Parts: sequence; structure tokens; C-alpha cells
Amino acid sequence: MSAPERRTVLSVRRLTKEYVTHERRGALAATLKSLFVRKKITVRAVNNVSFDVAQGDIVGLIGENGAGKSTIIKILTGVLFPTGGEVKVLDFVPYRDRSRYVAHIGAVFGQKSQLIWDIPPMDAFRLNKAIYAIPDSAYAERLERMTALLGLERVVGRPVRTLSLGERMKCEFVMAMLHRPRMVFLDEPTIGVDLLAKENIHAFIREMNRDGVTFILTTHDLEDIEQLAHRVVILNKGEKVFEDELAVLKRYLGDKKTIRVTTKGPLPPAGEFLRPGVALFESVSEKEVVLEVNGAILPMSEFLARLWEFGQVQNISIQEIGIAEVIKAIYQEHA
Amino acid sequence: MNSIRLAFSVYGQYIRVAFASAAAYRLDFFFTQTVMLAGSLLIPLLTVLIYANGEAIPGWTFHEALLAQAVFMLSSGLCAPFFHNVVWTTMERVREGTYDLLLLKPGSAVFTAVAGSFGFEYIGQLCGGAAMFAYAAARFAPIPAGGAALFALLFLMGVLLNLGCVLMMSAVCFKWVGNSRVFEIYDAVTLFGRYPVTIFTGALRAAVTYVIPVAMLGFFPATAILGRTTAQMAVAAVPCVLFAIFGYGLFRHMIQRYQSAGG
Repeated sequence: MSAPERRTVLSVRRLTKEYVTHERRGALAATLKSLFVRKKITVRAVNNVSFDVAQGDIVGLIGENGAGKSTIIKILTGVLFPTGGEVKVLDFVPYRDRSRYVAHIGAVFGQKSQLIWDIPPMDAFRLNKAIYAIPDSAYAERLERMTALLGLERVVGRPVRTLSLGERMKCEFVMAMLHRPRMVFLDEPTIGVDLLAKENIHAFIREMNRDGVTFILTTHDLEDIEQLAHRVVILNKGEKVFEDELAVLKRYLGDKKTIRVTTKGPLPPAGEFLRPGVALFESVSEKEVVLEVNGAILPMSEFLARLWEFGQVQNISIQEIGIAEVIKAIYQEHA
Repeated sequence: MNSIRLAFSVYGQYIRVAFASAAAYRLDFFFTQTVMLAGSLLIPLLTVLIYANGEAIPGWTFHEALLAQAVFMLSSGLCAPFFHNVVWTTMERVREGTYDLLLLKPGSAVFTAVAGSFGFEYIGQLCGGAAMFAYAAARFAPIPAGGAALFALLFLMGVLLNLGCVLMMSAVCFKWVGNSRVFEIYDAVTLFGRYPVTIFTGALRAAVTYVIPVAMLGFFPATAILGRTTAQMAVAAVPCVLFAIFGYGLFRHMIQRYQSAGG
């Protein structure tokens, strides 16, 4: 029996966003001239992007700087109007139904804080309680659960400016989720956050996801993607270049693995190893090399047998190709 | 009814947050309030000096002129904490791209912009205005109920004018980012509202009565207390309402032009 089809809660069709800005060269004369005349340029930040998100998914939006990730998030949260295309989230058109729609979503922007700098996070939480009309008992229950999950019990009463970046970011999550949103948008939520805080945030997101919350995540931190995302959308220069399950992304480059080989004595000339299906990835030292083996061309057992014949092997470690390499390859394909 | 109660509850929380922020630095809090209070009480100084030197505003006794100024001080003192920061916060948030965060709050964007900009630092100015008004109005007590009602209505028109102008100035910040001098122009225009319009002549008097009716910020409501109302005041109420409606509409329209800032 197949798994029941999950409801589509977010649908983006042929989304395009252009904005007009101006540019000038650096010289003083150009600066003076710009006081009177400016060269306007139209930038197409998002170009004909379509994708869907099902209820309960965690979808990662990946792309280089300027790929259009944040612009898409801003359109999906109702902050920006698109130039073209259609967007529907939770049966709302975000930018048209903004005032009602945003009551059902949450957002964490890693570089923009919803907290208030000089006063404790608790004051900002109370403000959100009033804005979203959260009943007293529900507020107390949710606040207790979230602060416990994120280890914030002793933090929420201190002024925001005295908190660490990790503590502030965790408080941003509480701020974004107190009203129990059905969908949460995360724009670089772990930027600059240390390892332990990041793990804590990942666990919190997974816990909320188990409660049925759908997450859309943009990040440059691929650990966020590997730890959290079920599906991935890759953007390049405003266009979608990949959309599928994370597992499919990992297999994108085929059955490739990187193999680090350390030998007792100096390695033989590269030709001994390099043959169809084997490529030199990195030559670390005269006794250590990293190879990339394509299992579709040269089966791994055959490669290992040949390596063993060499007789000088001290250590071997085999790893899947990291998604960073996969994404880099996808960018290069669409360069 | 529920939405009105919700709006009051949200506004109350924004005021609490503004108070908590202002109170975070105690010395600055007390110093700011003292300076604001003292600064607002200096406004009638010119009038005091004029009358102390035996001069007078034609047709106005000292206490009548003081009342007009006290109403102006009350009006601007009331509008300062409630509206004035909207211009600065809009300008700053549009330039930095943090207006996103206000648009993530449910409800009217105009309401969120106004409530979220409550400026507790102006409370001293409000207190100064209230104190001066109480002092000046006491000279004319008891004020007839009709005069008091008319005063309240005209005073409200002045508040609407202020709100409309603030919303218009804030709205242009979405297009002309970093328009930092706009508020000073408005401040200069409202200065004409500090004095009885009878001291102006011709086109200037018509401008402060019907075009940008700053007379509604002080002079007209004061004349209601003095029982000297004229038909002009009813006509001047119309542009006040239009300013508020236009400011509201313009702000809503210009939000659509918001471009945020790069990530």
C-alpha cells in the first residue's frame, strides 16, 4: 500500500521578480554626476521559478549569494510583490492577503532580529502574544515547552544586548513560533551560530516538524540542509536548476566516492592508479592521495583489489561525495 | 468589537515595550524627559516677552494668546509620542531592509507602523503640553459644554491633520529612501499653527486655514473654548479629514513599492 499523498501547501508558478536600481563607477566625477543623472538598471532577481511544497516537508533553498533565495522567501512571506507569476501558500496569495496570511506563518531571518535590543526577549514574546491574540494558557504552555527545548529558561529575562548570538537566535525561534504557525520560513537561521547551539536548533526544528509544521529553509550552511531538509531546490542566478529529494541530490553525480589512501612508502606514479573511472582529487603528500572513483565505470571491488595488489597500503577511508561537491558540479553545469 | 479590543491590547503592549526600552537606560530616561518637558514649556516664552513689553497680538489678550499656544503644545505633545517616530522608523527600516519584520505582523500595516513607532521619549513633551493647557484653560473656566465639545472635535481634526501629514511623509520614504529633511519642512510649516491666524494676512492666512490647516493645531480649538467660532473652522475641518484619508491611502499604496534590502 502506497503512502497517502500529502497536501500541497505551497505552490510557486513561473515566479519572476525584477527590481530597478542604479549603478555608478567609483570615481569622484561619477559620484558628482550621480547627484543629477543616474544610470538605472533592471535586475531580474528571480526568473521563472516553479516548485511545490507538501505539508510537513522541510525544503531547503540553496544557491550562491545573489541567487534569489531571500527574494523568494520575501515574496512567500508577503513582504514583496512579485513582478510576474503566481504564488499560493496555505490557500492565500501572500502579498495580496498579507494581513491575514501572516497570522499563519512564522519567519526567522538570521540577519534581521525581531527581538528588541535593550529589553529582555520576554517583553517581545508578550508583544507577540498580544499581536497574535494567543490565550494565556496556550502562551504559557508553548513558552515553557519551547524555552525548555532550546535551553532558554535562564535567558529570556535578560536584556537582548547581553545575550550571545546563539541565545538570540534561539529566542528568534520562540518569537517566530509562539503563535503556532503552520509554515515557517527560515532565512539563514544558523548564520554565525556555534556547533552546540546549531545542534540544539536542528533538534528544535525537527521536533516542530514532527508536530506538522512545514519549513522552508535557505542557508549557505550545508550541514543545515543535510541535517534537516527532505527536499532541495537549487537556484542559480535566479533560476531553478534542481528540485528533488535530498537523497536524489546526493546521487546526482552517480555512484562516486572519494577514497583517501595512505601508504607506507612513497606512492607510485599517478598512472598506476589513474585509469577509466578513477580521478585524482587531491595529492596530499608523497604518501597520501585522495582519489575519486566512479563505481559505474570501475566497480569498487575491482578498484580495491587493484589497490591491494600494490601492497603498500597503510590506511584507506571511503566517503560519499559531499553535497558541496554535488552542488558545485550543478552550478558549473549551469554556469 | 473584538478587533477593537485586540487593537487596544496590541497598542498597549507596544507602549509597554516602548516604556521598557526607554527605561533601560535610567539616566538617559530622566534626562530626556526633563529636557523635553523644559523645552516644551519654553515655547510660550516669546508670547510672554511680547506682552511683558506692553505689545500685544491684535485682538488677543495675553491669556487668550497663551491658550492658543497651550492648545498647540497639547496637540503636538499628544501627536509626538503617538505619530512622530513613524517617519524616522519608516525611513530607517526601509533603508536597512528591516521593514520586512513589520510586514510579518498580522493586521493593518498602517496600524503596525504607527503602534510600533510609539516614542516614549516624547512623554515629557506631552506632560508639558498638558500642564500648560491646564494652566491656560483654567483662566476661562467654567467652559460651557458646547464649547468643550466643539474644542474636542476641532482638536481631533488637528490630530487627524498631524496623522495624515506623518503618514504622507512616511509614505514617500518608500520611494525616496533616506529623505531625512522632510520632517523638518513639516515642522517649519506647523510653526504657523502656534499663533492666532489673525496675525497673518491674505494668501498666508488662507494657506494655514484651508490648504494645510495648521490653524487647527492650536488656534481654532482655542477659539472654541473662547466661544469665538466661525464658519471658517467647519470648512478647515474638511482638508484635515482629507489629509488623514490621503495619508492612509498613500501609505498603503507605497508599501507595495517596498523593495527590502539584499540578504
